[in-house]
Amino acid sequence: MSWWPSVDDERADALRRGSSGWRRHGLVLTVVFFVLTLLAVGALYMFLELLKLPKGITTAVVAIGVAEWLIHRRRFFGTGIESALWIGGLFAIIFALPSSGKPEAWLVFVAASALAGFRVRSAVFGCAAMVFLLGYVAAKTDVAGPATVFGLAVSLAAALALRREWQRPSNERLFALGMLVMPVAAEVAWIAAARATPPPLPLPFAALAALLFILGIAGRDRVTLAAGALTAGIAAYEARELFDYPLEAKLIAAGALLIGAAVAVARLLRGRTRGFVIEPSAVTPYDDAMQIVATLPSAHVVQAPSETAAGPELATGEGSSFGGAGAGGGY
Amino acid sequence: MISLEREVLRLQAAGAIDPDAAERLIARERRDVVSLYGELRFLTWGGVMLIVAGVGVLVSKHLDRIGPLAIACVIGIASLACYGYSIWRRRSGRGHLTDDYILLLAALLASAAVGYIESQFHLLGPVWQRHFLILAVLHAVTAYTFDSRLVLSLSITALAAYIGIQQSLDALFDSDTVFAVRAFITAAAVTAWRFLSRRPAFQPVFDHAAANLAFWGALALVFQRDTRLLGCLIALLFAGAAAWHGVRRGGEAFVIYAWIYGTIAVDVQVCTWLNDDALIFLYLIISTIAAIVGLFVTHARMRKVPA
Repeated sequence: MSWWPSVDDERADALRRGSSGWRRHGLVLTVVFFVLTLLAVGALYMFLELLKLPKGITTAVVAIGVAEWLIHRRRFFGTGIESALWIGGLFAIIFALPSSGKPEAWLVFVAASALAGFRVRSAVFGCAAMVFLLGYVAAKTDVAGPATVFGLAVSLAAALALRREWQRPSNERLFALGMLVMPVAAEVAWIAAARATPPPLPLPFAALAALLFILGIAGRDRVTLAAGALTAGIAAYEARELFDYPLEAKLIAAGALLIGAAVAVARLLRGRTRGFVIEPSAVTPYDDAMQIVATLPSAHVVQAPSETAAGPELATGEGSSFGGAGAGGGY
Repeated sequence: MISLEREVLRLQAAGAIDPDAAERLIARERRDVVSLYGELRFLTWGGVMLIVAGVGVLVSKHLDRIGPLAIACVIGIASLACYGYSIWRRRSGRGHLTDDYILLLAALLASAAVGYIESQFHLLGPVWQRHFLILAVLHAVTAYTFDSRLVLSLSITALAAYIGIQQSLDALFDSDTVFAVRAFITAAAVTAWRFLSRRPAFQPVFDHAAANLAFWGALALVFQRDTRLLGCLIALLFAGAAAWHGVRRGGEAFVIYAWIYGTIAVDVQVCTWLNDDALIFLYLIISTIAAIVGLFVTHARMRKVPA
């Protein structure tokens, strides 16, 4: 009886999904199954609540019991179902507890996420544990600084951890996700903890971005470079108040700068066949789909006359509110 | 950092992959060759989105100071410059990873310019909605000329706007029968376009747009009391068609659409029949488990069908 995929199983699946015999799904299907399973666990919790039965522990026993049965008997590992059952079961226990309002409550979520993440080897749950721990630091200290420093330090530590060779792909995913998410969590902590408008804090983010770029270039690691770009974006956002230009000028200049940077890097790498190159490749299997879906809200950035939508033959008003990007009709 | 070089060598020794493929994979594992193509394309796309957002803010904030004619001219000239650049790149025969996005910027700025001109100068009068049709045609011509799926999606969006489909979740929940009819008309138009189109690369864009529009129309009926049952039946009909299409063509997304939209429609209908909260939650447990099992089985069947 195996508790989870062995190192060899994980490595075989990393090369070709499903070759180890463990059932896994692609990203989209995993997310769909995860959400559906969480809905089922939530419905069970509410059902037990309405029947005045012990909802937390019963939900946890049923959910984790089913998850373990699926893992052991059906070899589910990475389908989205068993992971939702584990995290849903543990969170059901937490939600059934009386609320204390103390900062230590964050630690219960840290423990639940870490435990579920360890059992199903989920980078997302492991990363959630890091974020909850940052939340605990923020709640305990009641100021923004320590939580932000903690987030940046964890991101840097994860980047350094990625420099060594790991045997399990799930370990690598955990560090990669932590490196990407923690600067964002640090920024959210900085904004959320400030009583009024937080003072600009571009330097720590810029320093981390520079370190991530150096590590990414030295290790030829695309994920570390992506984390560097994300952190540089946060640094630029933090620096926005330092420049007294209108918002639209900053947006257009930032956009032009990004395009210019992409062109410059592409020119630098043109003709190279070793090291960093620019031969066609994708970041994810969903690059095109993601860009199309994310572009649609900006399809009609400037809108037609009024708020009422109507087709030409079915017109009931003067204009259309179709469109988006926050630039609707108020001019 | 992980390296699967050991496994690649094992596969090569077992004859599962040829030496050329093995060499490529080993170079990737050793990071001898690391392509930044995808990342640079995302960077460019992000730049385009920031510029378009900036244009939106520019238009909304500076109308009084700059004047409508000047704004329209600036956006229009910027759009033309981007179109000109794209045409020049195409004629020169030298592709660049930013080309798609400069074309996208041209199309988005053209949408902004046309929408702005119509909103300020009312050139089309009472048939103002036709500016969406103009945009749909312009983007379609651009998409076919430059073989761009991104711009094709803008064309379909403009067509939907012309027919009167609003692009927000609120629109779905606050919708009426007219919205549903418009959604069905748009889905039918997109489907007809798909069969007339001879670009295989464009077919997934048409398929996804038509499927989602049709399901939105059905859900718009489901969310109204008077048409709920009819909407539920139509949604189930579409779900069957989407599942069949997904299994036959290996389209995972269509199998997901079938089970998610179908389950929402049935759940809304059944929950309105049940009066007791406990019964509703008991039903939701059963229906969600049924959807999970159904999706699992359909997906497994889809993977068994030869492509």
